[in-house]
Amino acid sequence: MQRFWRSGAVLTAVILAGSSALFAHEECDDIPAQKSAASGESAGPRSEPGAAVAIQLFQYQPGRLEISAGATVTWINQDDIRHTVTLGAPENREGAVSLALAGKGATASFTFDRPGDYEYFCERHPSMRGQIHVQ
Amino acid sequence: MKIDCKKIIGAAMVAAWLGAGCAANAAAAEMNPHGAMAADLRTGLNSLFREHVFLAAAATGAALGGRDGEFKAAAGALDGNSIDIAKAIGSVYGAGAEQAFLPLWRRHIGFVVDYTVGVATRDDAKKSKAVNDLVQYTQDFGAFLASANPNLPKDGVANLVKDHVLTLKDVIDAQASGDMSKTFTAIRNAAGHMGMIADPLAAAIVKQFPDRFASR
Repeated sequence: MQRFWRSGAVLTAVILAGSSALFAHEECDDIPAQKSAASGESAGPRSEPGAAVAIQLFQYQPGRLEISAGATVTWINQDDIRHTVTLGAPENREGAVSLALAGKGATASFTFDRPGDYEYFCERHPSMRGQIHVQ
Repeated sequence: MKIDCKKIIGAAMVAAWLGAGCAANAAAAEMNPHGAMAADLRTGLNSLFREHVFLAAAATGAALGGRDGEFKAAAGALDGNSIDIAKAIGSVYGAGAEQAFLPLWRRHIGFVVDYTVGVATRDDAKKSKAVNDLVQYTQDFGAFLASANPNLPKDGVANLVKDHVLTLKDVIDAQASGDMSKTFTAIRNAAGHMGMIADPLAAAIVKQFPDRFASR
């Protein structure tokens, strides 16, 4: 019987290809500063242009963003619930960085230093997915 | 025949939300446009949400009774209802909202499944976790609708959904007890409660988009 329950309940999402080596620790030197930004502290001046992603109605808007290497992306939570921006995918989280956005009005930032395609998702709501293309 | 009626009800609701009313609606709307469209919306939402309860109860009853074929059919119909509800949300708030809503809605069904499995297997830990997950889920659901519509307070929605969860839990517990009288009373209570979600949701949408519901 349980197999039917499982089959009836499972929600399968389509996941694109996995993350890249940029998520490795040594290539994420700016992560501590960005976590400070997530907690409301200043991340300091940046020379690269930035981009913003709104989180509203349990969606990252825009869902796909194209930026240049070195640009900082800032996520702004407009939902009255905790979301995260977690690099990778639920099925492939090795080395993933996770930025918490505690509630409405919370922001978090991350600088993408190397070109590539990056996926991210919300740990609390795994169906929320976003993509960053860094040129 | 039953399925056809459901489709008609669902289609009527979506059509109303899209502003594509039928001739009868149009005639009524000339007399009281705001009221006619709002009534369509409220009726459609009530139909979908109550159908959700009936199909959920059919699925849990079949599962607890070990009737696998019946369960699969009921679960499939329940998911069809979920898709219809998501489409209704999408017709108001867009395709992105529809895509975001559907997994959120399905998630609570998954937790109900977990609870039912816990009941069937007498696994109190599983039951307790499922209840906790469902209570947490009510906050997510409240946040979603509050984000979509400023007329819907998060905590108010969450409390209404929590009551839905509890009334459905009563259904499952009654089904597990084998008391049919208690079971069907619980099903009626659970279905009746859905109006307490559908009615304020419809009212809030009409308040948010008065032109869409008053222009026909």
